[in-house]
Amino acid sequence: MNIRKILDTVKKPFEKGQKFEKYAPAVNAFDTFLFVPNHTTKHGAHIRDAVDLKRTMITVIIALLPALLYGIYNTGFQYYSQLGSAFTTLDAVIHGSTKIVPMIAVSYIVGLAIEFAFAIFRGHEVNEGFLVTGLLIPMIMPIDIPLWMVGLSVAFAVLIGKEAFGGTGMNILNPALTARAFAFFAYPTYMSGNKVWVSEASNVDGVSGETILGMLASGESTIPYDVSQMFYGAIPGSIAETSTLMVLIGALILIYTGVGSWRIMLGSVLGAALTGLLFNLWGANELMNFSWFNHLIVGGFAFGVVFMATDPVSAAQTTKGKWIYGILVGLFCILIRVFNPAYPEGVMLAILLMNVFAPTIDHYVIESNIKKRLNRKIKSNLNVA
Amino acid sequence: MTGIYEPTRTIAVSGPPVKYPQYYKTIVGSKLSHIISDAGINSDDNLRFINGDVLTGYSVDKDNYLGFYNNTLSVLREGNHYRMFGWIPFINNKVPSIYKTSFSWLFPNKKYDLDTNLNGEERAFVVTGEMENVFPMDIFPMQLLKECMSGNIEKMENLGIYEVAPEDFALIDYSSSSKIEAQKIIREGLDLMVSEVG
Repeated sequence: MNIRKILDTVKKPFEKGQKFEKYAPAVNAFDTFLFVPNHTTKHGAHIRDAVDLKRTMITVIIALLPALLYGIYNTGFQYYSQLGSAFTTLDAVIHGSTKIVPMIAVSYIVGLAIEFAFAIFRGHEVNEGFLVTGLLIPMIMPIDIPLWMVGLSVAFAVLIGKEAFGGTGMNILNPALTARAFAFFAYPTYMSGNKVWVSEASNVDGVSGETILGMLASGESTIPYDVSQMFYGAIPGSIAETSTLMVLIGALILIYTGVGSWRIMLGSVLGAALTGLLFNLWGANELMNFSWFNHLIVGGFAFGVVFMATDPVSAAQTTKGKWIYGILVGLFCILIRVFNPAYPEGVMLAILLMNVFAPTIDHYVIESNIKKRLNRKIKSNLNVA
Repeated sequence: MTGIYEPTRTIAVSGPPVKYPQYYKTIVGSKLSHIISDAGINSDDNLRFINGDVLTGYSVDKDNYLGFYNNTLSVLREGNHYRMFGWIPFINNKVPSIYKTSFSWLFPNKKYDLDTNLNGEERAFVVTGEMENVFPMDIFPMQLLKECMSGNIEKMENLGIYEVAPEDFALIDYSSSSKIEAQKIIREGLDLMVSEVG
């Protein structure tokens, strides 16, 4: 094969003992992107499954595509709707693309540059995790955020959120949400309020581009959107979070392929529904009166639960732990929404909070297994005696 | 029970490159080359001979001899070839997978030409829950592997290192999406226990 031959010649100076050996991870990353390597099994089982981390990560990206494509359309749709001018679907998609494609490009360039640098520095192969993170970060940002802020958030998330802890597989917080939280607290004027959710809203007078949760938090009780709009996603919000339908398609892909944990997703939905139901009964403010079902379909809840909470590295890792983790994510999401008007959307903070607690949950699940083993040992010792 | 030592063995010779896969009667420690020629294997090919089964056996040279304990000789093609874009989900379904990121589960009766390709590269532990799916005991396999790697003896004992053998982790070896060498890690963990605890 020709491409193979070219690659082999290119890789020559990067082989062991050669001049550029140090930079091998960078070249290998491109090589393994094109070809599954010719490595054979050396230890253990002689045959291996076709799955690898690349395949797993690309499956997540496939699951993200429906939400991303709808996000691109919705960006244009919201923009032209506020102008009140006639437009076609194509216009909306073109407007959305001109806004979102550069954000994705910046995210990947900055993040992958750091990942490659660390791989060379540490002498390990480039991990695929950033393929997903790099797409997630622009998808959860407001549309008008300047590109340099996207780049800075990505750099913060990869450096402080991931590499500082030892790299892929060892981070405590979800890197994509770390990026959003960084931008949220560093540049609040670009990340919240009523002018950031619709493209160019700050340049157009008299347009209300508030999110539904923002309206409720400021005490408005009449919402200009009906339930079907909330579900299909023709509402203002972060780029790809608005359409619950598209997120559900992604969720189906993740659950069918077994890449995303259905336990975490179901647990979160149950937790949020129950909490929402209880607050409906209480009903002290507008957000408490907001029907529990609507809580599930507005804001970033669906997106966060399906794509962020299920991140296997930062979530709980034991089966029992996943249920507990999921239910608490749902519970805290609604709690933060209802009780803290400064953060009308609670899902980001709820997931980050539970990321921090996930190792503790796992610790107690594992402790119970250890106790069971010790008890069994004591019992069998007694029988012997 | 005649009181006479019985050195004959009935061994199964199997694997995709074997022309006549069947039982062969032979004696302990016989030369592999005899069996190879009887079974119709072209030994010039790029092959791996395994004393034992494909999950837990050890590879031997074709000029070597049959192991004392094994009842199986497995033969596999070496997978030292490249597959272009083979990592994209739902393509290259000719490589079997227990996961649904490949369509190979749609053809449960299809016969696959297995080889020894690693189908990827070793990565950090990322995906959780997949090891538990192929591990029947009441043990946390991923946590135990991690403790074996860090050599924390007390934690290894607590998580049940005394209840496992490397073979128990063979399916984890096979199915791990991060290509973790689980049997090797457990073997080293057990060796550490032997040298430290006795």
